[in-house]
Parts: sequence; structure tokens; C-alpha cells
Amino acid sequence: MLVGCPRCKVRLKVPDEKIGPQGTRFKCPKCAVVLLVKRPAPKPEQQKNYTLNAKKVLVAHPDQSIADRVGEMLENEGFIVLKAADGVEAMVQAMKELPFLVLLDVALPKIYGFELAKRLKERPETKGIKSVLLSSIYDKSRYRREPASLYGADDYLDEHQIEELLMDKIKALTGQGEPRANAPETEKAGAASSATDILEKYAPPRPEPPAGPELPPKAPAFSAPRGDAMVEKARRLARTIMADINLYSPQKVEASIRENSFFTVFASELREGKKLYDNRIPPDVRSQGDFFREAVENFIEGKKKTLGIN
Amino acid sequence: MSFINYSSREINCKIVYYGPGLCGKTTNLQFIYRKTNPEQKGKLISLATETERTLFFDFLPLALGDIKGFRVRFHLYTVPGQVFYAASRKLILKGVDGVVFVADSQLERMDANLESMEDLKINLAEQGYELERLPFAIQYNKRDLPTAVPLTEINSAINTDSTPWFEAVATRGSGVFETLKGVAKLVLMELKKNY
Repeated sequence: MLVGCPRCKVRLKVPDEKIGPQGTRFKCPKCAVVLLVKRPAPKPEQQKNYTLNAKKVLVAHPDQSIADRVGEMLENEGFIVLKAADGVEAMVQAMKELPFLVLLDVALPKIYGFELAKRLKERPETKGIKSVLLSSIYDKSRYRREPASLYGADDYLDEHQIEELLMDKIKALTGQGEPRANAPETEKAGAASSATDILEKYAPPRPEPPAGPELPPKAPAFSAPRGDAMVEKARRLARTIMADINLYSPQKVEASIRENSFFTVFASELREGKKLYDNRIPPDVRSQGDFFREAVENFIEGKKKTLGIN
Repeated sequence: MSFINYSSREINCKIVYYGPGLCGKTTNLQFIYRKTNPEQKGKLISLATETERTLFFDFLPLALGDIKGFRVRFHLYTVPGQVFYAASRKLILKGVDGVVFVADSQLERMDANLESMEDLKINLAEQGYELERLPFAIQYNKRDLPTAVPLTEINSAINTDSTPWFEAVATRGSGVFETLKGVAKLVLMELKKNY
């Protein structure tokens, strides 16, 4: 196991078998400070199995009349209905109540429904929750089309089809009916190692993982609803920076991804983007994760997928 | 902050077209320029960087009449939309009398729309303005594209303060003058309050 000395920052290799259950004291060979080294705590997902409530459904919609209409339908079928009017409220309710299904309006205030679907799939306690995006359509005859991506949601439903299709979709999602044949592929979580390798060349070295009790504890996975909205803002800015790089030089982006030279070709844009990101996003939000790096990785991953590069 | 030219008896007002990259700000301005009577307008000035342009021109819409014997001349500006050019946007907003936010209706630009709206509020606040107190209109552009987000959804996501909004397809000119008239009306109302 690797341990970072909090005083002189030197990295020490400590054999796992030498660390006792209560931790073991070591002297740093460089600066002589005494360190108490403990084994890292097991990851939260290993500690607890989260059980979803098979009767609870969360309906997240800013329009009270639609939420009531859907809620009534579900209650008539014997479900317990929870409601939320914005994305933050929906996130909190989903984590607290652990419903088996969430119905999310795509344009929820504070955090979009499609962003929320992605967030739920990323958290250990909520990743088992099935999510369905609810969307209205602008002009039925002209603009109707199948969505290309569901942002991690399990299915989607146009608002005018709720009465007709909702119960069938629930049955399909819970394995009691036929799954949709034409449902688009959901996005896979996590970036491929190749993208990460490329990023390593550009990114500054990552800070050392906290090893001993002297180092500050890790931030909790979920701090506060407001924090979550701020994280979403940080992610949005990072995504916009990447989208703009692509929008203004699509051919250059494509060529650089094919030639594995994205970070060299767009070094100045990435530097400017990071500067803007650091200026705009407060340090306490940035400390919750490297969302800029995440956006770069996801962007490259998505581009590679589109271009058919593995 | 409108500027009064006593010798020409004109009140000069600055309207800035704001919005994410490639949302159609320049297309709006070019259409207005093309359709405006040559005697009523100044030169179309373009400040170009490698990838972005800032357009500017002024014109005197005769139909608007005058305020206490002074005619109103509008100066229309676009900002560079690409997210990096925050400093140029801040500069262009100086002395603004009215803002048009041009939103790109495509689903893939929803992040960029929200980000640009946030950027507008921050840049205005840094100069002591509040968007809520400024003459302000929103234009949902590119309504003809198949990827356009339904109006109810885009409006509920972007327009949190019930701002007047307009649909547009700026490449065809539809909704362009409606938006300009919408914001000009608000600017004039503000002027009449102050003069």
C-alpha cells in the first residue's frame, strides 16, 4: 500500500501484512515524522446492500397537474407515490426513499431529468432504480423522433402517451412484460482506459490518496442538495467547454482523435477552458471531483464511439 | 446607460445580442442590417478573431417617433459566443440598455444555453447590473430543426423569470424583427421613465 507523508510529501511503500487491525506506527525515513497507518476503510458499496422499495414510485414533474394525473394512475394500481417538483428535491427523495422507479420530466428545474437519470445510475445506493424520462413534443407531425440517447435512463415516454403506455413500460422494466424492441442503447458508465491514458499526458499529477489518520478525511459522497446542484453546474460548464471546442473545429477534432493527438492539437483551448472552469467553479465544488477531467474523458470516449475507434 | 447627443438631438441606446456559440446572434444582426433602409443605418462593423466575430452597427428606426424631441438611435452588438471569450463579452456589455438572449433550440445545446445565461448574469452583476431590471427578451432560435426541444421545455428551463420570448428561424428572418421590436419596446419604456 502507498502512503503519502503529510509533512515532506514523500511516497512510502508499506507492506499490507505489517499493518495491524488498529494501525501501525511508522517513521518517515526522510523527515522522521511518525505516521499512524491504517488500512483503508472498505468502499461504501461493499458495506451496505441497498434494497429498493418495490411499491414506491417517485414522480418528478414541475407541472402539478401532470404529477397528480400520473400519481393517481399509479395509486390505482397499488403503488405508493412520492412527488418532487424539481431535480434537487427528486435526488433527495430518491436517495432517502429508494423507490424502485422514478419518472422524470426531462426539463426538471435545478437539475434536468436526463442529468438526474445519469446521476442516479452513478450512485451505489440508487443505481438499481429504474428511470423513465417524460417528454412532451413540440409538433407531433414534424419533430417526433426516437431519442438517440437516454442519458442512462431505462426508457422514455411522451407525455401524451402516459395513460396508454405507462403501465406496460413498468411491467417491462420490472421483468413482467416484453421489453421495448426499439429502445435506444443507454450510455455505459465510466470511460475506457485508453481515454484515461491519453488524459494522463495532459493532466497534472493527481494528488496522493489519503492514507494515514493525519491526512484529511475524504469528502462524503453526497454532501447536500445545494452542493449537488453546484456540482451539476460544474459538470455543465465542463461539458459546454468541450462542446464548444467541437462545435468550432469539428474536422480538426475528428482528425486529432483519429491520430491520438487531441491534447496536443487543442492544448491552448484546454488550458483556456480549465482556466475558465477554475475561475467560475468555487474550490469546495472542485474538491468534490475533477469534473473537467470527467468531461474531457467522456467527450473523447463519445467521439471515439461515433468514429468507430476502439 | 443611454447616451444623449444634443447636437444631433439623438438618444443612443445599446442593445446586446447574447447567447451560446453559433446560436444565431450574427444571423439576427445581418438580417436586420440587410432589411434596414440605407439612410437610416451606419456601417456594419465586424471585429473578428480567429474563430469568432463581434458585429456592430447602429440604426435609427423612424417608426419609433421621438422622446421629448430626441430621436432614438439603436446600437446593436453581438458578443462572441464561444465559452472561452468571457472577457470580451464582459467588455461589450458595458453601458448596455437592453439584452436579447438568443437560445439555440437544439437539445445538444441546452447545456450551452444554460451556461451562457449564467455567464450573462455573472457578467452583468460584475458591472452592477441586474438582468431582472434590464429590458430583456429571449429568442428561441432554430425552431425549424428536427432536434429542436419542445417550446414548453426549453422555456421552463431557460426562462425562469417570465421574460418576454419569441420563436425564430433567423436564417429565414422569421421572428428576428419581432424579437428586436420586443426588446426595443422595453428599452423605450425605460427611457420614457427616465427622461
